Amino acid sequence: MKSYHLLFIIAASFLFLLSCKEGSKTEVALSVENLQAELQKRLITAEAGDKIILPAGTFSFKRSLSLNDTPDITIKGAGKGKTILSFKGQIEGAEGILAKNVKGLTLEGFTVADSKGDAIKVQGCTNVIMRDLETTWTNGKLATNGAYGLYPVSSTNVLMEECEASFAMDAGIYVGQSTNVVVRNNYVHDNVAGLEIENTRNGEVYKNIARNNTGGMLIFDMPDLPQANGDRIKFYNNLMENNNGENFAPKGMVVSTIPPGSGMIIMSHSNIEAHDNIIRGHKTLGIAVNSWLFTGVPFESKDFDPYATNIHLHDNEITDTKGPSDNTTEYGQLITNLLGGEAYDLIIDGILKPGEPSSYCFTNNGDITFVNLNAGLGTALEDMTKNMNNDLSKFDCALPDFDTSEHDAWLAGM
Amino acid sequence: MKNIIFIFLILLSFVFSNCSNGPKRILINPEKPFEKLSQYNFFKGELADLDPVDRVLPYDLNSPLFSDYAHKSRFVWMPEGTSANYTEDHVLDFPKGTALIKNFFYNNDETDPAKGRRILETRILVNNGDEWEGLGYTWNDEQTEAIYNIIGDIKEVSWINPEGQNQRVDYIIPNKNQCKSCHAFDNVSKPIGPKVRNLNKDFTYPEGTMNQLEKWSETGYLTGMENIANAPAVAVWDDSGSYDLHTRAMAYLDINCGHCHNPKGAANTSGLTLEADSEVGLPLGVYKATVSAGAGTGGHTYSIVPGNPEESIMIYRMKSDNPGAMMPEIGRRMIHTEGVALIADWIKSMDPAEFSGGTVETLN
Repeated sequence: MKSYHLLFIIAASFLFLLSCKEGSKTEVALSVENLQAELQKRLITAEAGDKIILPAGTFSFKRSLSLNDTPDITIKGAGKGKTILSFKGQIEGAEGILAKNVKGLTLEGFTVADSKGDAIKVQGCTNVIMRDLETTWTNGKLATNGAYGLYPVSSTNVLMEECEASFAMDAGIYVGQSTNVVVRNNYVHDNVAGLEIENTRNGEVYKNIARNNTGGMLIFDMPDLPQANGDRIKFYNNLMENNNGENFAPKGMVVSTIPPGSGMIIMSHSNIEAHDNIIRGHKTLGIAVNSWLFTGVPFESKDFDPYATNIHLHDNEITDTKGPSDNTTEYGQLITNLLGGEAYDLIIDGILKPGEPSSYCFTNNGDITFVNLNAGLGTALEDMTKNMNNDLSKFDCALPDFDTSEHDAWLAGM
Repeated sequence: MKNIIFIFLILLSFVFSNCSNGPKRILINPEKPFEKLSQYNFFKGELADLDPVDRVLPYDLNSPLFSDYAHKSRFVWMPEGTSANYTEDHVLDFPKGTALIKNFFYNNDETDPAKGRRILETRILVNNGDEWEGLGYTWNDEQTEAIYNIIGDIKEVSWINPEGQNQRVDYIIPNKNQCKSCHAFDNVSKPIGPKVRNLNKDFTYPEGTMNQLEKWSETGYLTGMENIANAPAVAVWDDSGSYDLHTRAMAYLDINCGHCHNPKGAANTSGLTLEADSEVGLPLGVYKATVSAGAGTGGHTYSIVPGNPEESIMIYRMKSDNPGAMMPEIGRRMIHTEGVALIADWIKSMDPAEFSGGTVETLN
């Protein structure tokens, strides 16, 4: 008899629990007293739809914080610089916060400081909003700082806005192998790379500011990755200014080759339109367009397209590009040796995809200095010395517009 | 449906708990884990003796994952009347309800087993039919019980190693989310170790020594193995008398790295595949430039430079204990000196002439 009674209670409580699970939107506010002890627990026990609210204050963590699988999670602090999650004493975990496989993730209103590796990594997530976040390392420009500040990777539908990222020894904002991305109104400074878009498809990057990085904004395709190539990125109304900071990336990383004084570098990524950007005050180059082949680094993937094709740069304002150019990095030394220390507004390696000679169009960028290294005819220094030219006229063309509207429906629904 | 089964199980447990003299039933519901390890009835007598009841079968692996020199005592249990299907391709196809029970401990003095041991945690992986659920139990200092714990812990551990040296580590008990850092395959949690090739070895049971696969077959835990002689076996990473250097290195990488570094694992974004059957070339990291190794490059360009371990990122990251640079990223605080030596020897043995340094014309 007793058992039946219990059975009934258990069944009833299960029904109750089930009904709760459907569409529940619980708001959990953590307090200054319990945040440190409770936050990770909340991230583990979170149910779909939970909103975890963090108070203002500085909170230290010895271990990474992680979030997996549970859909529709919001973590919201009192604002960047107000809610500070400090990982100064971190002994475990390769990132400050790691979110994996979350469908519907909003991270908003907090700072992550001094993580041992990446500050905030969002991997394999869908419908991601990263808003009003800050990532930084507080001891200045050190090779021992973490690599990436804000790092969405292999994710779909990503909006990053009103964030600030500084002192990353790789990129402040790094969008890797993602699809449908909007990056707007962010401020990146004092990183090696301010903002980097890598192997990403269908993105818009606008109204961002990059200052005092080694390189302001990069659009790279890297070989031998699951998402083999990037495609269709629009860059507009951004400001890249005085990105002349020392390159403090550890040797061996791709970004360690970025010469201080680089405004914007496009490498191997295809279908890029950059317009109405202001790029000023760089000591080595305003904009560079290169093929992966120019790096000389081998790759194996047959799916990887090493060429930058369909690059359309128009109506940009590139000013105050003034040497002496960088002589501290391999690429900087090469340019300095070739060009005698003079900085150029636009430098291309000239390694064009065979059969597509007019895949670059550069128009209406003002009275700019330009050099085509013509390295397609030979990558040895003496080849380039012989073959390089300043003929911008053959790139006076227009490319058809491409469609980046895939994210519009998602953005509109927010 | 699940709930009905659960209620049925609870009902069953009530029925059985009434017969106080009968054998204690093993009942596991991963959605409602017990508070205490002892409640599962995996062990009889003193809990800390880890003396298994009937059908809780101890097992071992040819090459285990390094976990800060902790020992692991492993057991498997399957519901009555069920068994795993033999497969050589991946982890065995375990039936729903299977529990893998792994106890992590340190011997107080490796030179004198009589000085006892300290068990830190017990991890139970339960197959719920869709995926495997990780249930963590942290042992108390008195070693009388282990308590369910989802957020993990940090425990200071001291012991004397086989060379008689004092050792100390802040041993980290992972939190529940971290289970998936290692155990996720295509975002679904799975065991890592119990593959045929890793189980194919002798084990000394109380009744005598026997090959584990044969024992599992005899117990009814394994069906479909036609001939033990044809079953593959992975190398014992530290048995240089029986296996060559390359085979041992691949076995070591397979169990220590392959759970993330495979095309469907957490590290697939790196493009590096470190499994026993990886092609010795770019997928394994030979002359492979890093993408996002961060601090992990140590100033080096390639994951593996044949003939030159000191210039290889792989060695640098294995030798690091900086959380932002080291590999594996979690589950390790100490440097596995012997493992590093094995992989360094292996890289040293590679002939640079056998590998092409690039497929493209180079600038330099």
